[in-house]
Order: sequence, then structure tokens, then C-alpha cells
Amino acid sequence: MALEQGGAPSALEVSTPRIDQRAATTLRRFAQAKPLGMAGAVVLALMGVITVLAPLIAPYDPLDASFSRSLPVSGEHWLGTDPLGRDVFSRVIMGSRISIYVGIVSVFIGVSLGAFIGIVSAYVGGVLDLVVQRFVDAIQAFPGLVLAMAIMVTLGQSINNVIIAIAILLIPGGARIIRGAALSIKEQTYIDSARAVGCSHVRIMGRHIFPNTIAPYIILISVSIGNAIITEAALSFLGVGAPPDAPSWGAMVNTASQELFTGGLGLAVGPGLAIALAVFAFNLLGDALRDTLDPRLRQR
Amino acid sequence: MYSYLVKRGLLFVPTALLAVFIVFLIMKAAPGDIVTIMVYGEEGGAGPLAESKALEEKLREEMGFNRPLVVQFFDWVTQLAKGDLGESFTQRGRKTVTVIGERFPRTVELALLTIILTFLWSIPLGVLAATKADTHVDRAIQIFSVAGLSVPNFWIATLCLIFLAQLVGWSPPVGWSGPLEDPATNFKKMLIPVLILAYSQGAPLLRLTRAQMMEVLREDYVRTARAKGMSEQAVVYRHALRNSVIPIFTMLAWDLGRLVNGAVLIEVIFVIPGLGSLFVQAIANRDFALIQGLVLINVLIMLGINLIVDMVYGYLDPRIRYT
Repeated sequence: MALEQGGAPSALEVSTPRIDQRAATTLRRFAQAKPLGMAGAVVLALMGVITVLAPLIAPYDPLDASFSRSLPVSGEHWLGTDPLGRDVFSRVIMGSRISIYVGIVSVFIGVSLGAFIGIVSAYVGGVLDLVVQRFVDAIQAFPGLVLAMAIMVTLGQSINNVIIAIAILLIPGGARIIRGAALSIKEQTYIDSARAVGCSHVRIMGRHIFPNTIAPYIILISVSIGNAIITEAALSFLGVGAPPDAPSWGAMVNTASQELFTGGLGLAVGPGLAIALAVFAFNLLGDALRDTLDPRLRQR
Repeated sequence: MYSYLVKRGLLFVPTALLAVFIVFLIMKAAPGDIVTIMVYGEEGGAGPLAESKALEEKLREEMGFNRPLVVQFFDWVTQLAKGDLGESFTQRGRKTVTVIGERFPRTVELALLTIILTFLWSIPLGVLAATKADTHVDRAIQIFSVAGLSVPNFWIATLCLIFLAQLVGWSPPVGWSGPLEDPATNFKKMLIPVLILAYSQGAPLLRLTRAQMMEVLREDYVRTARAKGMSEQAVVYRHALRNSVIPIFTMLAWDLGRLVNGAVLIEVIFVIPGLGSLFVQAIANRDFALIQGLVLINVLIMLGINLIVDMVYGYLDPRIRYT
């Protein structure tokens, strides 16, 4: 304290630029080593800005149905209007809020729950492990989309329920992969040491095992978001996802598919392109993160 | 080997029953059931309330829906043990087995054609990408494959139909015709769905092939094979690809399993009356008997495929032995 008052820079002042510098160096190295991953990150950052500023960017209210129906692409309506007379471009912009929000939140919840179950299952072992693994087998045994549909029919159409349904689909994968990692970590000598110094089971799992599974955990999150966005779109396409009026990209593709001869091309191209771009960017970033974080791939 | 197979076979039963029970619970928790739909219609249509209530109760009793859940489930299992999956509620008078049996060959045809095409395009491209790693060819192939992972197949299908309709003024034939009765029409109807499915199924397989090949091509025995003066083609196909085949084969088999269970979205868009579109109908109508039957078939197919995959490992790699 005395030193700080005497004019020397405080620890905080010194460390902030250092951290900034380190982050900048890491980013630069990442961009050099993984240009495609960085491109994905840049696209996602742009999409993030669009998502946050969506109401300011969208030229019209996405629910305003006062325009002529199925108008073609024009200067006034960049992607035309849908069969109910709503501006497609505004709906695509606002739709980013649904897709990206659902993608990130559902994956985070699903993979985290899966990691929790996987770590407990591996650590406790025995009958619990056997039972949990049979549940995992059972859920993984049928097609994800069908299970998600069944859950949506039960819970009803809403954005939060889509998140729950997709999160449930992701639990088995998370549980299986993190369990595998936790099984080998459990046998390490530092876990024995932790036990020897009297750490509780909860502390061993939370402070010693979980931090060491962080690489597969992050990889799993980054590679699952793209799939989660596609699943949300597919559920909305089938009419069991987002509520009917919500500007979901999947639901918009469905509207286009029902107006094959009369619908505007903007309605067919815009929302699908948005899904593809978001998923493409997440996949590129996910691949790059996997290559960077997976020690086996890094050594090459 | 045989004791291993018996052990695996015995694990089938609890896993399959557990999966069916999970779906049974989910569907029972759903608001409204087939009786509500039968009495009030999809939209909950108006009618004399007292009469409707009485009818609802009568139907529930007839169908056994008023009994405890566990009793209903065990009844179903007992019936199943006799080889009976019950009757479909929405297709009254028809056995669930008959309905599923009728749809099954159509989905199998779609799945097999897709897997053959997937195999033909993705593995050679994956090998090419690995042998030309970090060149323009590799990057182009990688972008093509990541696009396949990222572009939803239902959007490609929709775009395909719209562009054909609006630019060419032609709508491709949809639905299904028997391959034996009318092979030409069957081919026309299957062509676009199979092409679209094969693209989206092949993308992850291509990436896996590339990654596996890249790993194997760095092995010492590959270097030795090259040093011996073997042709590059022999090194790549006889040594590297053969040693990368297990994960590739596993993924291909799983893809087949998932496809045989029904390519839900593509079947819906192209009006193919297979298992995928049947699932969508069954869930929309809360047709429990049909849903349970379909889930059971799904689970058995996936478990069966896993078992076959494990057995084939031994042939693909003689070092793998089961005890």
C-alpha cells in the first residue's frame, strides 16, 4: 500500500496491460496458426453485434404484417416479404437472437450437466456408473431429432423449452466423453495425494478432476453449438420449436417450402443462409479450438 | 467370442426397455392424448361438455389409459413378449407391426442408397485431402466438407425444390413408388433425396477419413513402405487406408443405423412414407402404441448395428480379439 501511495504503479495497473498484451499475443498467434478459425471468430463477433443491435438494424418490426404478401427482393425489402406480408430481412436479423441464444445456452447447459454426471459417474464408479451408463446408452439409442420432438410435444412450443430439449440431447455425449477423461484423471497420483491430505469427495471432483477435463469440455461446447443451431432450426421447421409468430430461421425455411411456386426467393435463401453462416463460423472456430486444445493434435 | 456375444445380447434387453420406458414417460407427461384428440379434435373443437366427458372416460377405459402408468407399461411388455406390439390408435384395426413393416423397406432403400453414395464420394475425397494436406486441393475439400456439416439438409432440399419450381418451372416427383414395380419412377423420386442426404452424411465421414489418414501416413511403417520403393498408390491404399479403416467403418455403420431409423426431415419434405415421417405423424397424434413400437425398433437397430460393428472389427483388424 505504502509503495502504491508513494507513486509506484499498483499491482492492478501493472497487470492489466500485461494481460491485454498477453491476450493480444495469443490472439495473433491463433490467427496465424488457424486463419480459418480466426475467420470463424470474426464472423461470429459480427453476428454477435448484429444479435445485440438487432432491433436497431432491422428496418421494420418483424411482426408487422401490413406489407403486400410475398413481395420479391427490392430496395425497400431486401429479402422481400413473406406470405403474411412481413419483412423477411427484419425477421432474419431478429431471428439471430433465437438461433444464437438457443445454440449457446442449450449447449452450455447440456454439456455442463453431462460433464457433472460424467465426473460423478466415473468417480463413484460401481453400480451408479453402470446404471448411469445404461441411461446414456438408452438416450443415445434413438435419433436425437425424434427425442427432441417428443420432449417439445410434452413441454409445448417456447424458446426455453427448445433449450431444455436440446440440452437433454447433449447430456449423454457430454457424460460419456467427460467420464472417459475423468476415469484416467481419477487414477493420477495427485488425486491420491488430495485424498491423503483429507480433501472431501466433492472438493476432489470440483477442484481436482473438473479443471483437468476442461479441454474436452471446451472442445465439446465449441463443436456442439453448430449442431444445436441446426436442431433448433429443424424443430422450428417441423413446427414444434419456437412459437409460431417468433422469427425463427427454421420456421421461415418451412414457410418457403410451402410456397414453392409463389414464395419470394429471398424467403428461401435468406434464413437458410443465416443458419449456414452461423453454423459454418461455429464449426470453423470449433475445429481450430479443438486443434489448439487437444494435446495429441497440438504436438503435430 | 460366443460368450461375448451372449453378454452383449443380454444387455440389449434392459437398454431397449429403458429407452422405451423413457419415451413412454415423456409421452405420458404430454398434455392431451389420443383420446382428447379423438373426442375434441386437434383444435379442441366444441361439443356438449357432459357427453364429451362421458365419451372420453369410456374410451380411456376401453384403451386401458385409466390404469396406473407402471401397469400400462408392464402390460405392453407382456404383450411384447408374445410378439405383439399392439394396435395403432390412429390407424384403428391395424397392428403396429404391420404399419411399421410396411414403411420399413422404403426407409431401408433410402438409407442403403445414401450410404453407398456417401461411401463412394467421401472416402476417396478424404484420402485425397490427406495425401495433399495443406495444399489448395486440401483446403478446397475442407471448405466443401465444413459446408456440408453447416448447411442444413432441409434447407438444401427446400432450395432445390424452389429453384426447380420457379426457375425451371418443374416440380420433381415426390412420394414413393416400389423399386420392383416401377424402377424408373422409383429412381426419379429417390434421386434428389439421396443426393442431398449423401452430401450431409458424407461431410463428417470425409473429415474423419482425412484425420485418420493424416495420422497413419506419419507412422513408421508407412515410411518403411515408401523406402522399400512401393508405389504411392499402394502405400496409401494398401497400408494407410487399411489401418485407418476401423473408425471410418464405425461412423459409416452408425450413419446407416441412423438413416434406417428414418431421415425425418428429408422424408417429410419429399413425402416419402418411411419410418421418419411415420414418427412425426405418431408424435403429432400421440399414438403411443406406434411411438413405443418405433422407439423399440430404433433402439434394436442401433444396438444391433453396434454389435455387428464390434464383430466386424475382428475381421478388419486381426489383432482385435474378444474374450
